[in-house]
Amino acid sequence: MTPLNERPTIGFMTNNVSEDGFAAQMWPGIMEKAKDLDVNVIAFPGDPLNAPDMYGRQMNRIYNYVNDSNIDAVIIASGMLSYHIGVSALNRFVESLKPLPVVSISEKLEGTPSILVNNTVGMKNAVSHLIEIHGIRRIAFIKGVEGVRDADERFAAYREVLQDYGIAYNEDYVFQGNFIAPSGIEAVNKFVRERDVRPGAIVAANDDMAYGAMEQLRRLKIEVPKQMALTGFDNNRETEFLIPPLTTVRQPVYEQAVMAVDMAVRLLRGEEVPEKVLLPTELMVRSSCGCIPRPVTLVGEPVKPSIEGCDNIPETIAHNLSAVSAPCPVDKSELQTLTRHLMESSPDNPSENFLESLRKLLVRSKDSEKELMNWQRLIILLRNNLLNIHRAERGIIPGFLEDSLQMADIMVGDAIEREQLLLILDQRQKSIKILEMIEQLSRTLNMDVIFNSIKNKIIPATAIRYLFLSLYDLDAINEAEVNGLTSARLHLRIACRENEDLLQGKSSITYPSRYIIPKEYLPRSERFTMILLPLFFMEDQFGIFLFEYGDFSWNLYNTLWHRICTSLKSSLLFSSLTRAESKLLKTKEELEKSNNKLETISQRDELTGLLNRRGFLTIGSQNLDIAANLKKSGHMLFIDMDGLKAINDSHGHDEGDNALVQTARILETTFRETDIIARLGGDEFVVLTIDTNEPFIEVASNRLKKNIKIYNQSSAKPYALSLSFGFIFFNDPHARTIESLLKEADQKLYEQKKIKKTGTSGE
Amino acid sequence: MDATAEAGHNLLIFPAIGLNAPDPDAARFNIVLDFTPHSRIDGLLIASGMIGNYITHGELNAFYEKFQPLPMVSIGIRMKKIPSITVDNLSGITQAVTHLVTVHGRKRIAFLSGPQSNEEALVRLEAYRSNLRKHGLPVDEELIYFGDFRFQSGYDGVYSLLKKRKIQFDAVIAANDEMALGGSTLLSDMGYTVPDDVAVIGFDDAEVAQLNLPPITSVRQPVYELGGKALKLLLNIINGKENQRDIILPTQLVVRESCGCPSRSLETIKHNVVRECQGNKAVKKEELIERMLTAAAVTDKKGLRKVINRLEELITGRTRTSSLHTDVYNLFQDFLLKKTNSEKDINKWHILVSLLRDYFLLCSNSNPDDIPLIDTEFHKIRSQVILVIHQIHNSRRNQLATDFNELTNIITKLNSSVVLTGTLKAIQSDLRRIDINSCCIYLYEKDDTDSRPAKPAIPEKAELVMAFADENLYALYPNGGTHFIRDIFPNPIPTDRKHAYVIKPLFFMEDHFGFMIFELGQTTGIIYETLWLEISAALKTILLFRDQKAAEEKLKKALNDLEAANRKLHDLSQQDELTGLYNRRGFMILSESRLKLGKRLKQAGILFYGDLDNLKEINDTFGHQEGDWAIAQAGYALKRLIRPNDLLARIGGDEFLILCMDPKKDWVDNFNKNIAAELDSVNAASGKQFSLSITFGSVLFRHDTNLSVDKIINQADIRLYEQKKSKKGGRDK
Repeated sequence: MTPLNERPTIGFMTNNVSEDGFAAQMWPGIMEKAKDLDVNVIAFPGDPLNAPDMYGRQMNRIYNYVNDSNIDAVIIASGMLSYHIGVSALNRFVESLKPLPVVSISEKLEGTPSILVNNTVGMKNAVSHLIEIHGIRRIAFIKGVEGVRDADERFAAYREVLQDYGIAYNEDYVFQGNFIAPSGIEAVNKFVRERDVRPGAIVAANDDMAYGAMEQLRRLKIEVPKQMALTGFDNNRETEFLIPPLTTVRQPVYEQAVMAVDMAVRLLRGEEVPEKVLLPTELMVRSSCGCIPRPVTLVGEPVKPSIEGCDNIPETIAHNLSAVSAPCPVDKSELQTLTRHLMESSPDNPSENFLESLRKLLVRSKDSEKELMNWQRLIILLRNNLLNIHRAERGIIPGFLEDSLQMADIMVGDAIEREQLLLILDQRQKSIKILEMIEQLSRTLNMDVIFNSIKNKIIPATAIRYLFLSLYDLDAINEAEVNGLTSARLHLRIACRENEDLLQGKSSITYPSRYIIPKEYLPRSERFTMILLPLFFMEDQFGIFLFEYGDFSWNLYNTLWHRICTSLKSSLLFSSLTRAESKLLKTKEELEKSNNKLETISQRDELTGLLNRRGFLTIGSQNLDIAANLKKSGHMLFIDMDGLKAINDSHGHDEGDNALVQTARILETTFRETDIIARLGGDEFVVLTIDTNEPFIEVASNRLKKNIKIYNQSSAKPYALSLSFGFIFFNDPHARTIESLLKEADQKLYEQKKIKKTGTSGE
Repeated sequence: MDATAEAGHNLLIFPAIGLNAPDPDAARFNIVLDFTPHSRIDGLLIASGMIGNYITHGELNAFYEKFQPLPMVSIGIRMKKIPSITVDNLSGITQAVTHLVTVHGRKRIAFLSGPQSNEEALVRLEAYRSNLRKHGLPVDEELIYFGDFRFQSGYDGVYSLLKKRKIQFDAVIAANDEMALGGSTLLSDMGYTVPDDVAVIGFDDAEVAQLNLPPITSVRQPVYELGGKALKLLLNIINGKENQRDIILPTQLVVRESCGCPSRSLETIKHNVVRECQGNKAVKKEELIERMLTAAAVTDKKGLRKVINRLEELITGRTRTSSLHTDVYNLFQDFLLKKTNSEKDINKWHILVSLLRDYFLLCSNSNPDDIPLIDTEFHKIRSQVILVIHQIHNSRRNQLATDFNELTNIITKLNSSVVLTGTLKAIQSDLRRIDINSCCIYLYEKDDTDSRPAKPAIPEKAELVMAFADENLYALYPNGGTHFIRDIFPNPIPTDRKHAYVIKPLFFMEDHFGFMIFELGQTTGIIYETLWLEISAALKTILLFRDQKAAEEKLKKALNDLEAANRKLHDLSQQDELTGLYNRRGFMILSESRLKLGKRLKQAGILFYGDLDNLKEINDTFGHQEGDWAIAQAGYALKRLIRPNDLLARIGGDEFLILCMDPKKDWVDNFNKNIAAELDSVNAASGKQFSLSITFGSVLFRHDTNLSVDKIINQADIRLYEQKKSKKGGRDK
């Protein structure tokens, strides 16, 4: 074997690192073998290639990182990956991964070492078990999706077994399902209610359909297995916990994974590996077929002597344990001591020593559920051996020994129960931890605070040794396309390696997005098992998240990861909201300024179209200058509408406005083109005339009165217009300003009004 | 909850944390308490122990005062004016002390107390003191340590007794199990053996205590009964059957191994009621079975008698060849599966199996040949018990994992849409999978004021965005309508539907934006808590998204307004930004009035139309900034040349207009020369690589001209063109 210079990293493209589904054992297989062979693993848990939905496409962006910058070889769950595209397209995809060495699990790929499963043998074992062990001959079958290899092979195996045992094939006993639980329900209804065939057993082509069938049988009050046996295929996690536990066929996914890691490492070493490996399946006999669990049937079974001889109890026990494929939980000398202590006890000398050493050994075995279950078998075998020894005395074990053995049973049972309760407690505590982390992450909308909570709270709480988080250019996120890389650069924002913050106060480190993280930040001496996940929310892809897969279950990591995604999205939303709001504020300020400016530069009165005060001052003062240059005289008139307020009050503002407009028109017709007319505001108007002599005012005044009269006569309005004005004449324009003229004219108007008033009251 | 369901009443749960709790979110958690004084409630059960953890008795009284005259029952703390249900702390401690003194002969008993501020803790401490006296033992204050009910304080407490106070003791009673565990852990860490060196007794009978090695002897509080009894009392008060009354529920010492007692299940193998009755003819078979069932604390005695009878038939009636074990297996499997949901305690099963075994071995009239067979059968039964219990626990574990799976699915869906309707619709059917069969979500209307109240408050009305119960969807955004919050339930959900609802505020940081009401199911609380947090966060995201969209919309509108204003500004502006001269618009307005006045004053005028000679080249070669400089300089030069009342404008690009009324002849004649001189001096001073020059065309007009300004400008433009041509021509020569 060629040794490898550096510890290689194996990639694993899968859709499942969780505890569920038939492939659940694949990831543990990868992890454990990688540990054995001392290689690193990075899992890329995505969706099938060419996923039709946005979520799937977003997940699959992590596949972009499956390249020789990050890993040295890749294992692909090819059945999953090819789901939408088929095997031939998958071949092309694998081609694109070159020069990476590739190992395929579950589909045969051209030129790629592939590890496959033997469906036929598994199904044959299940059906023959029902016939041989339980004597059932009327066996119904629920088929999987027609045309799918797994379904067809399993059905063919069923028919073959029937033929082997000379049982006639009957179509009434077959139901076409599609691998999902409702098929199981329909099948049971079909068999029991419609066709009334009452089979002795139902064989489902997978576990999901078996669940459905079990549920429906329970509803119909048909007892499994007493009235009808049931088997499945796949060995999903839940099958063990059903009541009764489901007899099923285990797919060797764990072994496939182990072999895949082994082959990948051999490829890296340049060794030859087989093109195709076919692994056998295993029948998991539980209770739904009618079997009694092994630990129960094992009690009192005649001892099968080991090769060396039957008088050595420890030897025999070890031998018998291996026969039920259970490794002995203690070594030979400990077993010998335990046995000796049991044998030495007598009615006068109770079995304290035996129980005490058993107690100690059990304490040592805690933390391993499997080992404790083997203890149960060990105690049974110990008794079986005693039975064997005492067989000469009519098979009676002395009562005190039986008592000790019963106590041993209880102690083992207690240990198993305690272990289980501790596991439940542990699971709950971990869930609470995750809940606390979610709570932590829900307390902020600030991205830096989020990163700090991950660094300072989450990493210590989860004991994750390696955790890295990188973001794409944030500006690019909003315009991101769903396919392809978002940006060419990544910014490393969290880099924690064994309690060390590798960024050391820097806010980020930028690197090309071909890399998951820059090589120098990867764990150095320690071997690692990590998972790469994309960070995204709907169509926005923010970055990537790489972390050590530690003690928690996938569900908990998954919940945490989702929360990080959502928190990042919220913080991005919040900052864009803040940006929009501050921009809005700025825009509003600018708008206000503009409006002010607009007002300041506007020269005309919007309502009447006359000049406004500003326009009047500009043009008026220019004309006044000209008058000064030419030494011309002129008039300034200040005009006030009478009764505008009354019009507004009794006829509404529209009428008031109309009166103002009409007044403007009257003024325009009254004065000359060269005279400057303006509305100063409210009901005040002014007129500046240049080159007018004193008598002009008489003429103008008469013309104004006349025009008003004409208007009032022709107007159908319920009110009459009336104007007052004051004026001044000037022949010294150089000594005047427009402002002083205005003021004086205003003063005159005021006097005029006063006279008018007293005049009126005097009448 | 179970009691409410049985009694056929509805239950609303307002989960809160301690009033005045130091948690920064406490106020927002506890806002649910503000919902309570509403019309839908007939009576209140208040977990005073929790609510009152951080406040004084007086403040707690005041809190109750708020809800008068609603019928109320206080759980955990005795109140002056309110009926209460409490547990008998005194008797619990009495049993513990008495057990240690009389059964195990312990004389130096240390006490790990709860905090001095906690009422229950003080009751337990006082019970400890009085019981020592009762047994004639001295009360040594050195043996008392005040912890805070947490594991660590138990650990620290025993450490302090051993190492700091260096005090001798042979037993520890802790005011709760957490501290007992901490103490026990320290003892083993320091090399002491529990219970041989020091006996330990806890309080609460928590699951973790049972899992310790050795399992902790503890005082069981009837927590479950507490709820049921409290409800019954409340109902009686509501119905006027009972009023002021305090109920004290008994506690019970659960003896395990940490006090020095042997494991009961192991002990039963050797010493049990059956063996005691061996050979005692006076005890009839029926009576023995009855005693046996009582000793095993069997609840379903009838069912078990059937099993015993059947087992007897099987054992005595068997033939050597028949397969006994399958029948026994089936018999027990049925019974076990039926009972294990309520009887999860494996010890109880072991004790029962031990009793049955002895019954069949010793008391049945069985053949001695049957003895190995009976023992074998009971071994099998034990294996079976272990497997079934194992399976039950595994299912529990599996259930939590499955629930988390469902939760993850919901969370994924929650986060797959930022549209309220979509999100709510997506989760609606999934909530049922974690056993939430009814749920309503309300959102407050967003007020535009940015001022947030210091203390969150519940508005009068809220918008119902989702309401469903069982298969029926009663409301979904945006058609849920606005409801008065005091109704708590939206009208569409039938009020006759029996329910146990939890009311939780929805908030994210300081933003309290609504609340949700959901029906509690069988799933564990962690799932519901996580879900609630996630729903809060998801809704916050949606609201943020909505706010952000609204802000963007507003921004867009504001930008439009700004643009319009700027356009108008530009339109109205009479000045050129670059040179500060009039622009075309300004020139047109003013020139018109100037011409009119000129006409009246019989003034002639002249209009110049000018154009920079090489602006394009300057722009192209030196950049626009230089071009702008050139324009501005030309403008300033022209300005220097004209009289204050002459009109000078830049009308775009590099074009200038000048209108002079009543011009002097020699000024007109020298105009071109003068401007050239001005520019020369600019050129000389600038140090630029280009020089400025300008060409003008001009039109003189009389005061009585009929030409409009436009026309005059046109004519000047033509002149300019000619000038340029001749200038170019001249240069070409």
